[in-house]
Amino acid sequence: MDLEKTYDKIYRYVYFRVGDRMIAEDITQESFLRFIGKYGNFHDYEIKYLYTIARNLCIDEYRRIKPEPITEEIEDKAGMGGISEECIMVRQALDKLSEEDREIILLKHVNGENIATISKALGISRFALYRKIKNAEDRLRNELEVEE
Amino acid sequence: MKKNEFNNLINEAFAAPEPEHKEEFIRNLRPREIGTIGMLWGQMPYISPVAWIISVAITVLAIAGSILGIKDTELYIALAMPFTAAVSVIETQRSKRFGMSELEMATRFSLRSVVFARMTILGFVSALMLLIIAPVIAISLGGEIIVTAVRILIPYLITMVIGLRIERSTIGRNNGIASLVIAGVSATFVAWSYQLEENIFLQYEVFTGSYGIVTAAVLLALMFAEQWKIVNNVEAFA
Repeated sequence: MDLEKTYDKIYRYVYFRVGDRMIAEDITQESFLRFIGKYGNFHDYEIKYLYTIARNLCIDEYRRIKPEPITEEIEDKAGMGGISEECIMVRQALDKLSEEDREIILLKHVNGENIATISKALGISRFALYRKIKNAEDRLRNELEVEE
Repeated sequence: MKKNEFNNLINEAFAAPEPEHKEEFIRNLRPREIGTIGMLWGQMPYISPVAWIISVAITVLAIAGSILGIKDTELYIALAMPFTAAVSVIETQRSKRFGMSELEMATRFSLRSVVFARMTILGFVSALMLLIIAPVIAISLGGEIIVTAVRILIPYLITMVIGLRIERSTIGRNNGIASLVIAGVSATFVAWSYQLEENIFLQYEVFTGSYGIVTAAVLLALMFAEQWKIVNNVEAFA
């Protein structure tokens, strides 16, 4: 397991769930520590367990304090020329999707995880996941067409 | 929209701010500490299969011999025990023989702890064998359990003491089969001693009947002393 890449993936996953850089980093690190506490080392185990731990920690965090929306930060960056207009459109389209759809799209298209990992992380069957991926992608494309 | 374009836009949309403490956290991330039992358990698969096979074979033969009422089972087992000891001694040099010493010195567990763990495991296995074999033979073929245990144990201890001592010498370090030679000599000596007339002091049953427990205790102390020296100096010998 490449620790740096894994850290980035978990951090990105958490960040887009909690919407706060510091909390995302705390949860990412806590996920790694809990993983080591349970499995001892990173050699023999797969990333799907890390996603599961991170997801549960995000749920705990969400219960504790409702996260702030992250659109402002994105828009600020866009204002500084950091993000393209197309990207803002995609971002707005993503915001209209359900949290689960966003999660699936992030795991599949951004983190590049395989079906087995995503289904384990989300706690659903592979068949259900295939269906959800297709629906999420269709919804996103539809939203993008509306935006255009 | 093409698939690649779609993926690129999504990646851009999901661009998160850089984490601030990633490098520091990963640099300080350490695997969980493993306790003594976990360490011993983890080393078991690395012990040579020959060690397990010999231990199981001797135990099975002892039980079979006792059930079938073979009178000399005790002798045969006493003659086989030195080879169990030889395999245990060879195990202390296994890392060096397979060129793993330097690697093990630089890994999570020191070479010293690895050798100590393997010696402990094999010691437990031998003790367990003795706890099974001695009562079975003594009860089935007649005799005192302690005397039977001592008769089986002494050849093992002789081989361990001499074998470990030689392993620490230049000859032993350069010769992988030194312990097997000692095991052979030890078994031959016991066989010779067994067939002596009963009025001779060195006759194995007469000697062990009188001085067996003391001899075993002295050899046991010497074996622990040799094991202590091996463990303490293993990195210097590697």
